[in-house]
Amino acid sequence: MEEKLHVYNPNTKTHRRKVRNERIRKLFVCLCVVVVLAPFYVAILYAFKPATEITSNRLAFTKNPTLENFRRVIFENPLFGIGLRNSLINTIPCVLILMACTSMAAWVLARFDHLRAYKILYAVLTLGLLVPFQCFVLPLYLNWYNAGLVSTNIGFIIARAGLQISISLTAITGFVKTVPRELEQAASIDGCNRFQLFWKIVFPLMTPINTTQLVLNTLFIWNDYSTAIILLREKESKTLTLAQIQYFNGKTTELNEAFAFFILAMIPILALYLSCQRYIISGITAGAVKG
Amino acid sequence: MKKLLSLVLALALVLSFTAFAAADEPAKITVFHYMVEGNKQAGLEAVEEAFKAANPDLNVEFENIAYSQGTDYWPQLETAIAAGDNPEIIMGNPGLYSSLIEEGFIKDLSDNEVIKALGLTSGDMGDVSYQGKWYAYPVDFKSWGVFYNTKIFAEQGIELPKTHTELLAVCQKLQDAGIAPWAQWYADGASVDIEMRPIVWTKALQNGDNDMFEKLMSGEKKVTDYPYFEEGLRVWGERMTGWARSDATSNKQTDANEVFISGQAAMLYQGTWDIGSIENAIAGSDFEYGFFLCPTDDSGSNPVLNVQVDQAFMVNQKAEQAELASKFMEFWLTDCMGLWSDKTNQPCITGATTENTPALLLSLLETKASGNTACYGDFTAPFSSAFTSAYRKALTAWAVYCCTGTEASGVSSVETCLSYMQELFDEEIAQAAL
Amino acid sequence: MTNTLPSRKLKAGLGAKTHLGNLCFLLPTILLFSIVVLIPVIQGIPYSFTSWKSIVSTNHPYNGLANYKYLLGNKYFRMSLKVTFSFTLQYMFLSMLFGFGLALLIHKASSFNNVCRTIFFLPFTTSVTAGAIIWSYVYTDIYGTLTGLVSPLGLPNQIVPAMALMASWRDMGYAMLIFIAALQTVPKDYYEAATVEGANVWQQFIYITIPNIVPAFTTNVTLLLAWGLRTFDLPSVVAQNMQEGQTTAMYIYQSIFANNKASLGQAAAIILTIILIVLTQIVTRALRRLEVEA
Repeated sequence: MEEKLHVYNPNTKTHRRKVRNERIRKLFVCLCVVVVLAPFYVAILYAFKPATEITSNRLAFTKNPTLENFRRVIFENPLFGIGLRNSLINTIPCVLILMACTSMAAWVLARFDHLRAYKILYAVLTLGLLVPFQCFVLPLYLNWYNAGLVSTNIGFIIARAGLQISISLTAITGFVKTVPRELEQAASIDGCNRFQLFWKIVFPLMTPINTTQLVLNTLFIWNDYSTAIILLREKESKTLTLAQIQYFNGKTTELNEAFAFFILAMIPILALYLSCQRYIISGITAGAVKG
Repeated sequence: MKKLLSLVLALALVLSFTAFAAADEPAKITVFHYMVEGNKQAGLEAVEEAFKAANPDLNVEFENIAYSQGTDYWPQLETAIAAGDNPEIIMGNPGLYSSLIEEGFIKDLSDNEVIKALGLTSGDMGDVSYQGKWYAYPVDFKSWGVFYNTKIFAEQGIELPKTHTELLAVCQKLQDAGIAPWAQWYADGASVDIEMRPIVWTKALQNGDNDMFEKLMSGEKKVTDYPYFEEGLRVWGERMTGWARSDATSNKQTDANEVFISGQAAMLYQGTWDIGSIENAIAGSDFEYGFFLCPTDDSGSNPVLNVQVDQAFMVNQKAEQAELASKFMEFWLTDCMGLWSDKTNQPCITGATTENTPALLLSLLETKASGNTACYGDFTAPFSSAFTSAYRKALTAWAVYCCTGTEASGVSSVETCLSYMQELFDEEIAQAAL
Repeated sequence: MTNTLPSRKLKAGLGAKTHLGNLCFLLPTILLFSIVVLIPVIQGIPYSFTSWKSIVSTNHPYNGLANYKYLLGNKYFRMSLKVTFSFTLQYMFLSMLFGFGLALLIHKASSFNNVCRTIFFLPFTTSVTAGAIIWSYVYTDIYGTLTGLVSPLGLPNQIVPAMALMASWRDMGYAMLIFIAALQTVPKDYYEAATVEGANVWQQFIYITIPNIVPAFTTNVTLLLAWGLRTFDLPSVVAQNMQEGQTTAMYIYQSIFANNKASLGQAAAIILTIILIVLTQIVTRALRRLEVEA
């Protein structure tokens, strides 16, 4: 009794130390937040500054914040509309195709991982993580051109999905290994065929990892630069990421517009991330660790 | 879930196929270029509109594809052409695109009546030639020199320097007054290159070393065989050492412009191609600048104007609309030079002016017409892109040493910079022999 | 013997059907991967044995192993490898350090911690190129203004650490999430038991936390190693003219596309791929052994 009182008395030394430690921790975390966000401050600083205002103190926030840069990006740069449309048209089917393909493949690869052939197949399919893009970009481009796929949405979708397979497959296979087989066995005894089994039983069980991968793949594909610059050549096919780089090509002075564009391009992805962020952590919990 | 999935998938696929839909097929001219500046793109579009207006009977459409010259232009162009995707018009000075010429893509313009009628000099045409033949339509030219803040110069009572020593004195005076003399941008390869040219080009051509670049590339001569490189490094070194701002080696072109325009530095060594960008940035403000050619010695004579063709366009004869593309380029050269100059603030190769041409361009055109020039086109061959990038790497190392005192790649003096440069050249020569 | 034979046949028969079914599941992935990655990689190999210069040229005579011999003995190629390795090591170290540190600070579930996790992952939502450009302004505008020092991107002896810092700013959030995930799997009663036995916080950290999250280290190391060794976008934005910042991926790109040495670049790409595969195998195996021991 004496002991318990001692623990729960808010005036004891241990308790006060705990409170103090917690305060220090929070303070330190807040400091980290400031440091991590500092680069975004630079972007915001430029984006809200009037184009003609060039000051000697580069860190001070402008006295006349303006939305003019944003207005000009949205209404006067045709590439913004084109880029937004293409980024959406490319990213959405691409991540859905990836989800369908890799979840099916991952299930089989995880369940038969004791067999040599499947092990080898898994190793080959995840090789994409290790091969530098420059190693095969030239043949890839030549094939794509000959198939009429350059500067098309469908061409980019296929290429980007193919490039994303390795990293996505690793995570999902890792997750499937943590899903118990009992349910599947019960269902197969009930007379489900394998496709029914997969879509009715397994696929719903994979929701956490699929959500995670959906968001992560969206990030990778939305922000893709190296593939896009090779495969998307015509103006009408440019994505937002490509369009925004045009501003930074050394010879332009529209720095303020450039950062306004950067912020606008981040908004859709940010919205998606903020609405799904709790799934990301749970998905990574299950997937990556056991990989 | 499944239904929703397939629905979204189908929708997205339908959307993406709309990219294929095309109406009545007009003749399409694709222009591959590296004019990333907004005013040049606007200029190109204006010329295209003028062409359409002048030829209402032609159903023609333009597709302008722009990449940054330093990093993406040649890679993108090359992959396109390797795959058989042939743009009609290719921006560039033919000497740098010899593989395209050798593979028979570029139309030979040696007998072109329109170009002949322009009456251009050998120096002008040299920039658009390869092995003695004309391969591109030249539009305008560029040079480089010192942009200065007129207000600061007036406040400090500074006269325009006529000699190298006077220029150093100006730097010292500004420094003593607490004003940074230079806005520098040595993170950009073009910057280090143009700092050297007034000596390297001018002296080499004066001494008849027109084949200098050709011999350096073949390995027949070493950089130390030409005293101009040594002199260039030394003079440029004196100009930048001692008063470099801390951002000198991390700035790119835009950053230095900003430093200059905001009054944080009194002078900016810059190419004339950026006049348009500077004008855009100072529109509506009371900022004023002047321009002088950089004196490189103490003779006090008028500095020589370096001239290099800037915008030049080749026609790809393997492209579908090659004929139409030539017609367009000829229209540009004859009917749209004033329009182009006004839109872009670029001095036209033909010397064309309008009533809007600013004084700075007029004085550049005047100097060029006087013949006191050193033209890149008078060299037998320009540096290839591989040699250019090797050359610029060595110069960047020198700039870094002078501005920050940090030794990079063993460069800590004019001699070590030259030997590093030669080492990089030898590397290129060895690779070419593989 | 006679007994097992029919049953084996039966098994094999069932197996064939199962494997055929499996193939249906695997086919879309295999097809996609083959046309985008596998086939182009194989198509690219023969180029490395020729003296192909500009890729617009149709002339590519066979020159055997000349490209490989040249590269292996070449100072600048080896230097690019050195830059790549040193960048990768620093980038891995910083990303893991930041990621692990942050994970330890905020791995417990609370609304404050959740908000912080969101913020720390935020840099990962930017594109590498845009992030690199923003950071070049961070170095001149923030670092330069506060310290009055030269931006590290302008100094050859600082450019690699500067790039590693930029890259780890972006990717530490990813590493952090993997660490948090692992920390959450460590059973709480381990710590309770240790407290009862009188172990202090440090001892708990060394003997309970670390051994239980080795798999997270494996995942992070593998991923960051592959990302680091292939790094291209970042140096091509900030280190165009500086030899001390040229990574192997840049060397490859420059050779193939910018400098008209297509076959040499292709050979360099193959060497890099081999190094990557071998290195990742060694590192992963070593870490897996640690996992088993832990």
